[in-house]
Amino acid sequence: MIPNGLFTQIGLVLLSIGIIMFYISPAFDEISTAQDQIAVYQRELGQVSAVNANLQAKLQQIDQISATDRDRLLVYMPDSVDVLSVMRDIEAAVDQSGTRLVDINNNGPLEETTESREARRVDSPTAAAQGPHAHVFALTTEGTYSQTKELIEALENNHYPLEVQRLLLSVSEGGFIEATMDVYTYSQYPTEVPDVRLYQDINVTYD
Amino acid sequence: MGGSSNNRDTSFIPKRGPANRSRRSGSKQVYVFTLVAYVLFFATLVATVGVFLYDRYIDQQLTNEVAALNEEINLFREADLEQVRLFNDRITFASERVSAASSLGILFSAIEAATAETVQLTTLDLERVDDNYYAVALNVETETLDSSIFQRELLEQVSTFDIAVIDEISIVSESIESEAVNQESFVSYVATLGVPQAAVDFVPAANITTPAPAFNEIEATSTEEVVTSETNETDL
Repeated sequence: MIPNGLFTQIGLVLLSIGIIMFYISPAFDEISTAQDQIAVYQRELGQVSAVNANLQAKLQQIDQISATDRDRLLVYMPDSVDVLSVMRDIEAAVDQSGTRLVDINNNGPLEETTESREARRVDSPTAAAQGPHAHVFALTTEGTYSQTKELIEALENNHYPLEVQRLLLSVSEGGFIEATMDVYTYSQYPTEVPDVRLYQDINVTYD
Repeated sequence: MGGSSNNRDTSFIPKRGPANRSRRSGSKQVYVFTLVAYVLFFATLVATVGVFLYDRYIDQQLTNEVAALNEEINLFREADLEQVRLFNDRITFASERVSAASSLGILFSAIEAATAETVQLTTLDLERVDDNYYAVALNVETETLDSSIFQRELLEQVSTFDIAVIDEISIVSESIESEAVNQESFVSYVATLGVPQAAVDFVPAANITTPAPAFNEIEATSTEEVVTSETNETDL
């Protein structure tokens, strides 16, 4: 039985006030902080979940693309330029058009300036920093006007980009039209230029 | 006496003195304070228990949220993101080149349509500028200034060209071998054309019907003084 004395009652009141001040009030603050943290974690959890869900959706989209279409995309925008294949395809276009192939040279990767890269229309900011990387072939042919035009159309209808970026038509000695052009093709990554020292090393090894 | 004693018992005058009344009133004030003290105390105890339990519940909930977040983070695979990013880059690059694809056949057709029969194109120099523009320079020869003016009007009428400027105009004289006295002259100039890429946008499988080329329409003339010897013998 709790005594009914005045001092006891005052003690109870003081004890209550002490409990409120030194336990309940700090506990409330702690609970409030924890609730804020829970809200932050829930928000972060929602964002991470959304990212994961979005990533899974994108992966599913990629998986839904047929293998044929993926192969076509890979041909259209390869990892790197296969110089021999491109030269063979250009030669085939020349043959198809009936023009005479005077020469074809691999001028190597285009050293693109920052300004020209920025001038190109690129949607993705990451893509802007990366590519696509142009590779230049210099082509000279000789033929009639119709044949030259057919050659250019054959290049344009190729299954990967063969863009005529520069073209000079003039009359050759035989009365035909000489077409000198720079043909660009593209790859996702820069085409590696073989290091001359490596070849020297190989030669040394063979010697 | 007894009667008076009975009368005193039944008297309406209260037996208790005023001192007793005042003591009862003082004990009632102490009871209110006691009630308040007890209520406060027990409420504090209940609140303490409640806060303690709720605190534990919140801590548990926080632990669960942290665990759930870690679990979700562990589900994230960097390789998947890299795969999607690379594929997206490839699609973006391909899309960029597809949208930049143009048809020089359309450009040639436009030039052919805008070339008068009386002029002769000797060279054509075409350069693509920043993926979205073609700069074309045509070296043109014609017999008279009138046909040059007509040619300029034709070029200005073609909507494919947003710029059609004729400059570097010169009149070149050449004497004919058989008639040394007579002299013929022709007008030479450069037609500079600007062609937006949108005007020659590539359409897959487009069947471009090309009219007969305007080149080779002027017969070559034999010359004695060769001013532009290559272009006189054979026409572009």
